[in-house]
Amino acid sequence: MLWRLIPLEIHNAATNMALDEACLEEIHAGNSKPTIRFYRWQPAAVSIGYFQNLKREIDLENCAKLGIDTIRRQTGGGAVYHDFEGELTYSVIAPLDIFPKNIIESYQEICGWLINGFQALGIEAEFKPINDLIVGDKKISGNAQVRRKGVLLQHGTILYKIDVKKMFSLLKVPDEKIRDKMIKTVEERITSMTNINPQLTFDQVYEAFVNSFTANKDFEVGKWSDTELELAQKLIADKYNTDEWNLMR
Amino acid sequence: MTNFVQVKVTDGKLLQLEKIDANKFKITGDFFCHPPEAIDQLEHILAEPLNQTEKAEKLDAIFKNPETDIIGFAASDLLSLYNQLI
Repeated sequence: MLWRLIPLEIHNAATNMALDEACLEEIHAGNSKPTIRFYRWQPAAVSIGYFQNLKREIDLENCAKLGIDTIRRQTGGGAVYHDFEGELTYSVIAPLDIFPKNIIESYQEICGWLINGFQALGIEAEFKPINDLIVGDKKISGNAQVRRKGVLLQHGTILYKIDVKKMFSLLKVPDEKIRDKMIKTVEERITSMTNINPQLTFDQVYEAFVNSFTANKDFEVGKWSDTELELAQKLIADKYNTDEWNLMR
Repeated sequence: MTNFVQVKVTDGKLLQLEKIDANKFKITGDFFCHPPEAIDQLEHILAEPLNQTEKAEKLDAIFKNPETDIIGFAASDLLSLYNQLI
């Protein structure tokens, strides 16, 4: 099987999510190859899981003030702050039948590619079901998956650098009185690559994960097709930038 | 009386249930569900005029459907939240 690798791109939230979906549609139509892509978010963004309530999860006023994008993903899971400097994001979009039918096992398979990337950087990460990677007992990567039209889409975060205080200024907390306590708790539960090795550069991290994701695969470096780009533009306008989608639940 | 309840399921995900009105419930949270329409089915069952046993059986049937994967909570977690709302 020949894979397509879309090298690192920088987009806003709506474009990032629309490209994932356009690619899924084109793989379903038999027009695009299984795809691995890496991307960053500019402006920074907060995404919520498919089943979450945007207003309940995100401080929309503060996000608007700080120029932070907000968006609903088509995958499940929780709210994620995607910092431009602090995160490398990946998507794997491929026919469902090349992965285990069991959802946890399919997470584990793709997370294995992540584990190999961390290992190449000297970081021993392990898969923690349902959908996380941890180093010691701290989370370093969160992953989410959707299966539609015979295609699996899994995307996930690779935490390069974290700013928990900023993250909490964008997310709703149940009780303002415990905000500081929650920040401390999260700081104890999440780590990043620069926490573990401050010498690691973003370029080194990107290269390690490109290598680990493409290892033992036939692949070519590719770009989006015209159809995918057109579909993505339509999805941005008709779906990802609409209240109908983002305030759906 | 509250119209919103939530629980962080042990070894699972956050599950939230909101009663919009007597005939409408909304399930939210950071769980995973394939296909997503199964959540709509669960919401409909909660709103149906059924006794506890019937409701539990119908919710269970959704979870046991081999074509459905709901990860992060069980039928009993949802029923427990529902009972707090009614």
